[in-house]
Amino acid sequence: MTIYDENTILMSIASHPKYLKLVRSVILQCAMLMNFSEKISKDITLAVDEALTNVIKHSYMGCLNKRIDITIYLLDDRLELKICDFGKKVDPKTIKPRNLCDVKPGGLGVFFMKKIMDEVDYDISSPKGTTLTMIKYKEDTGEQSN
Amino acid sequence: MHIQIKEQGDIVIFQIEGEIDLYNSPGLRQQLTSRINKGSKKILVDFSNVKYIDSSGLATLIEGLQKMNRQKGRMMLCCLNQSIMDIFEVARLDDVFNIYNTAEEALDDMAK
Repeated sequence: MTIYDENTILMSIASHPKYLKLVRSVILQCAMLMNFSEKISKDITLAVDEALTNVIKHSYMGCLNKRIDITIYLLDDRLELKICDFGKKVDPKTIKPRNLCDVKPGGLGVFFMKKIMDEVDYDISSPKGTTLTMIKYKEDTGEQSN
Repeated sequence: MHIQIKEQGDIVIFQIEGEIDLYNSPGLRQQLTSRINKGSKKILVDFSNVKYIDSSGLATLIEGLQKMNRQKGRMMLCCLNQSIMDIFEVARLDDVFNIYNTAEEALDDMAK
């Protein structure tokens, strides 16, 4: 009998923005299940939405039928999310939030991700694509993120 | 997302229902741009029934505001729920847009 980790959820979706609402629903419920407040749960949901939006726009450049793997780890001390794409690699050094004083369309997604999550890390070491790891600790003291 | 467009005098009111994300923000952009290009000088976006917005939706609104500013028009927002207001505040967009608690307040100001 196969044993599956009871704290792990794995989803694979096509890179179609119609699935964003579906993923948001799952993430919100996971965060609430972990007893994050409603506000923080909604914030985490926004961070994941923004990460997926960036994958669709930048890694897959709008292609609707590419694969995105989302793994959610519901751990004792944190909610950890891995978003894996197999598209164009993006140099993490070039991924920067925009200056909020410079009001223009675009550039807010990365700002939200970094503002909301305790850790945001891009791994481009695999042969194809990028794996983004985002972590939100249950007690957001700031100390755990270092 | 569903958009209902109403006209009250020279004011065009966008009543949006649902969630604004990468999937449906192009539809909002298309309708906003269409109205702006037709020469509308006063646009009110009513968020009474908007449950969610992400950076794609914000980008669409910023684009609309900048187009309106270029043609000396006014674009205002009203009835944002607390979650959405939080997003505007975190992104410091609450200072960029004219935001009203009620549609009546916005319409009164626009009528001046």
